Amino acid sequence: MSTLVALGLMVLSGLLLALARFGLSRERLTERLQRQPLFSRLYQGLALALEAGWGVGYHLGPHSLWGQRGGSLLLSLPVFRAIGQWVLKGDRPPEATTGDGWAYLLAREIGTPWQRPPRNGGPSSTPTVVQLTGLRPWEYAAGTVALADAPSTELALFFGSFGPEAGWMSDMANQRFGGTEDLLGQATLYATCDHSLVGDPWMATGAYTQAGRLHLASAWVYDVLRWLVWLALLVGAPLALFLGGGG
Amino acid sequence: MTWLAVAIALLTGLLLLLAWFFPLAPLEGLRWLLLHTTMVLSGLILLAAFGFLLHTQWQAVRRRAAHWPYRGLMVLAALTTFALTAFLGTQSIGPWMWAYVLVPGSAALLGLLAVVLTYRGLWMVWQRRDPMGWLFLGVLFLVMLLDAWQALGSPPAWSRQLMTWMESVVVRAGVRGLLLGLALGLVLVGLRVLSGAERPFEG
Repeated sequence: MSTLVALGLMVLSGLLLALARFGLSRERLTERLQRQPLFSRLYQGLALALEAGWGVGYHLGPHSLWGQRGGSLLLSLPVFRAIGQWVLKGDRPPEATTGDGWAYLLAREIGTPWQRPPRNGGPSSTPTVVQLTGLRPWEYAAGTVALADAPSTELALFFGSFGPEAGWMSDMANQRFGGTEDLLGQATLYATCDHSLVGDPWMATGAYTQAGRLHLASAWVYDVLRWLVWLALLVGAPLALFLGGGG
Repeated sequence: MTWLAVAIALLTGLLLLLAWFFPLAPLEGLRWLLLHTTMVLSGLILLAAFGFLLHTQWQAVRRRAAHWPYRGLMVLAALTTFALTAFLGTQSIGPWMWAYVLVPGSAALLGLLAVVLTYRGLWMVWQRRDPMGWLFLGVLFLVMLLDAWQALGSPPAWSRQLMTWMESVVVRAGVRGLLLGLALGLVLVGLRVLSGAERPFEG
């Protein structure tokens, strides 16, 4: 039964996504986005960083793409691409860190075109875009604080898969933004970041960071699905109570 | 060649999803074969990532970047551990490293995190003066107080009832709500990747 529900949910989501992607204009999808103050502050911070020539640190987190928490990293990588392209208007690309081999390779693929060619046969004129700073959560946190070129970044984005170890990285920059799927990680980021996303808005980050029209369509589908779940709960809870199925 | 990489990635994803929804014998066999291959590849990727990690840190040591002594120490420790494990086997040095290096190190970091979070809690009092911030701090203080009371002495029955009510009603409802939202979001992330419209494997 649960498999059928999951299959039904996927088919419905797929149909709605196709409808939103090809049936609704970008303007209409953008209009329907709920206001999230974090992103306007994020772009203010990025603009300030560009103007002042500050570094931007993008932290993908220590958890593996190959596992239950991979979804958050799959969400974070297009956001890394979108923010990186935005930051490239300035002098320096963002400096990313990760604790997972897969995520490292993918982020490296994204970041390699941002490195400028060496001048006169010397080393590349931009720093290493992605660094692997540890292979387990606590080692990643310690490694990111101690080994990454963190002192040069004034703006840190903790967008990825984080647990409580994120608390260790809380002093890394002057301005910190956070978002993750893990509930402990969300609580930690809420307490330690200047601005953080609590709950499901993290899942719509791509729509707010201009990662593509598909992300805007996803945010619309996401709202529709939330309404459907809300309706199901509203109808299902009294039904379960009256029919004796509720606890 | 991009289209080939995209096609392979999409086909693999769809086959795995089909095998999960319809656990028929041929699909199950294919699923295990694909998962096994991915596990082998994961090992190789881990090895490559380890090499990249050492390379990056060694480059930083050579150009005397910030914290270069720590970086050098890390490279030395990583190479020593790798060499010992490769020559003596995982069972000889592995359990010792786990029990006497990794676990105490992680425990120390976890212990220090309590200090960091207490400091950040005080920072929140000054920096985040909004209703959500006050609610967060208020609940945190209440839970810590009730927890400490239960651990140190014999608290009255109402405090235990309050704790149980908070855990079974407030926390559970909140967690379920958050998880429902996150699960819906993850379904959409999966669909974007499976449809090939979003390609995190592409630069």
